Amino acid sequence: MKLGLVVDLDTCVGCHACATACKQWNTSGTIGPLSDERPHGKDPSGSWLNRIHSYEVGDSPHSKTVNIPMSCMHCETADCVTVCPTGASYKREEDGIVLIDQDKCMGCNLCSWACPYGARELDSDSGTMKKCTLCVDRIYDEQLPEAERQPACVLTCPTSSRVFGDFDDPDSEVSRLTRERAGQQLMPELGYNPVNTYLPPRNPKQQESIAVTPMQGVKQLVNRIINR
Amino acid sequence: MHPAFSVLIFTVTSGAGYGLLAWLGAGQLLGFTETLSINQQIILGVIAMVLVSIGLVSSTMHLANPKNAWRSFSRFRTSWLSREAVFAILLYPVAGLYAAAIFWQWSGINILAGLSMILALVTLFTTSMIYASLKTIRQWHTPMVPALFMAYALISGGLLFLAVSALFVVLNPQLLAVVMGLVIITLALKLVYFFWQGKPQGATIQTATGFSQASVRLLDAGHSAPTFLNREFGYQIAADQLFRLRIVMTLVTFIVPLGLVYWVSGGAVRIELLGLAWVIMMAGLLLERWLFFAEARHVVRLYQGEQRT
Amino acid sequence: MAGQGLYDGPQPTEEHHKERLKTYFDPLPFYYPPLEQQRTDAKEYPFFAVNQRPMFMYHSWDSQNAWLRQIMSQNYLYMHRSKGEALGIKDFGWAWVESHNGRIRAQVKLMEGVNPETVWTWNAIAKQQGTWGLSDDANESQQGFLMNHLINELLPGEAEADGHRMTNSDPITGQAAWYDLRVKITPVGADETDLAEQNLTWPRFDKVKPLPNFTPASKVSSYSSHPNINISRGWRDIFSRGAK
Repeated sequence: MKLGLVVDLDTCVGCHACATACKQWNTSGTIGPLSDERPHGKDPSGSWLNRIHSYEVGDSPHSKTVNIPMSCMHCETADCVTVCPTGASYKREEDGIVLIDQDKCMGCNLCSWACPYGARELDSDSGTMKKCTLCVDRIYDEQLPEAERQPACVLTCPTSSRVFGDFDDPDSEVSRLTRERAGQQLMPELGYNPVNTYLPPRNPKQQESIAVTPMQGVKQLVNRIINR
Repeated sequence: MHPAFSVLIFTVTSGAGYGLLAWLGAGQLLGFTETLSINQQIILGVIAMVLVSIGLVSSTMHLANPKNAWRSFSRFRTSWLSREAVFAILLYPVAGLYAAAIFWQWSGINILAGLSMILALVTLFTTSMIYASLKTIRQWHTPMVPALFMAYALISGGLLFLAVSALFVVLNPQLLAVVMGLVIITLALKLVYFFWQGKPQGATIQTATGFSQASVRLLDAGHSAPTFLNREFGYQIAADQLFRLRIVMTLVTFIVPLGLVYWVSGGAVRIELLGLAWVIMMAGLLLERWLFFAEARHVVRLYQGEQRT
Repeated sequence: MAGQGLYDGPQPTEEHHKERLKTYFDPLPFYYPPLEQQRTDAKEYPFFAVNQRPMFMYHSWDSQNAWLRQIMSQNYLYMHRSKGEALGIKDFGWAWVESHNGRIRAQVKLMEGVNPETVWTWNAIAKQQGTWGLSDDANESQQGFLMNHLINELLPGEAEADGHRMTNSDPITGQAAWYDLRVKITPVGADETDLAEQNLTWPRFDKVKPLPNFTPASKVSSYSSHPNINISRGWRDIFSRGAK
């Protein structure tokens, strides 16, 4: 099994619901609690496992705002696993999820140096590194109804921009979306082979603008409806 | 990259210690420690191990959760940090045996000297590979980094060997020439490194975000105050300040010590100046290490709006 | 109809009120420039200014929410890059934003995807010092800004016949006409105010005294409903696994 996420950059509106749902779940999730420094003070800073960066692609007037939520990509050849000296960081063989054993991490930060995507952050309160667990404690939880055995971020997304599934299964939703929408990896040239796939924004055809007299307009409209 | 003081002290101090131990071992094998008495050789070895120990203790200070530090030996199979931990600890009993061999003039002293020298060099290599193995920092991901690392250790260790042994006995002019030659070669290597790193290459914000056919600018980082990633990787140094610091570093690490050593070699001044040359070189190496971190631009900065690293 | 005197119920007595009803309560839609903009000089105040609540703080305040304020504890004035550069305002530079009603100092972010004649910001981020349980140096009170100070609840200009100025709101719903605001923007000059002030918002108000029995928030918050159940990795796995 190669579990991961597909994130649709076309429909993500940058609402941060996935980031806050993740922070809420991991209040008591397997990698929680996620601490906050100066929560009511100047420059508050805390542990978040998912963050949304917003970019402007292109120059005005052809620019587009793209919101990119980034969490651990659960890379196939994850250097964060290779460099970890204590063995706290590891990739599970059964489903490919990369986890950090909180009892073993010594907080040397080397894994965050190795991660190109900024997935790993040091939790200053626990002194250990924390990152997305792909909600491993949700997806296998038999006490949850089947439909809810998905990561918190996927369930909460109001635009359904996040999909969870098995990339090894060619019929899964994530595999289908990657094929049909030309899903991409971020920074593939580094060779980490991230599993999380991002669907690029669709390019709608430019609408024709025709100056018409009212009568012609109706005729063209009727023709267009008939042809469709 | 945020230059952590404890890591600077660690690499520079332990580097000099390993270098000194390597020279001591080489001296035993090549014969230039014959002029030193047993006690003098032991003193040199002790100085080396004290420097190494200061460095190793310093390195544990930047851990956020040191109670798990003992686990760092377990991933020797893949992690350079783990390998460095194993070899660094292994060096202590070997160096201890070597010291005993010196003290009691064992017949196997050459083997132990060679082993100490090799282990010191291997530990240096594994330490440098912690940085050089990272694909995310292109300023570090080059074979020049372990080469320079080991060169710094050999020149700082070598200069210390010269300074201390010159106090005990007469200055060895051939050894002096070798160390001076090494300093010049290291300087040349460093200049090649500066030239090589100056060329922009590698990942850009376009490849990082997947939009390679348009301009990409950060609109909103997703947090209005700095996070762990900003603190760890967001260090910014102005280009002109960087250039000035590089010049200062080159002068203090290489030129001034070379000048002092050359002056001493002429016989006109006191050999204690060799000690001063070493202290100046160590200060220069600390600056070099600081620059090593300050110049490093991790690719995660691309997601924070940087156009290229 | 009430404006025309044709209505059976209560009718306005003032002439200007009758005019207002007659004009704006037309059953068919028609265009007219926003009321405040009819009374503001477009040349002097060239930019339209609008604001919106950020999505993650929608329909709520939330500057007291420890998580949400980590996403945003300071707001920026977003401006089109070409206009900003023409005025000499750098990305993340500070600028004075002025309307007929007042002025504020704000930090500007230049962007592409905005109408060049419009500037906008996220509203209700800024807070007065001492409020919402935030510390005295919180970004909300030191760097955040509100467009409120630029907007008046009354229309600019002379009072009407009854001695009152007209309300600055939509004639039909009475909703406050915030988005009719026009502003002018000038960069904060190097000679204006001391350097220490240049990275701070203006106006800033006196600190609100804390209520009795108020305890300030702790410096670290690490809440969980129960201890986390760590997924442990065995020793055999640690020693035997290679790079994959």
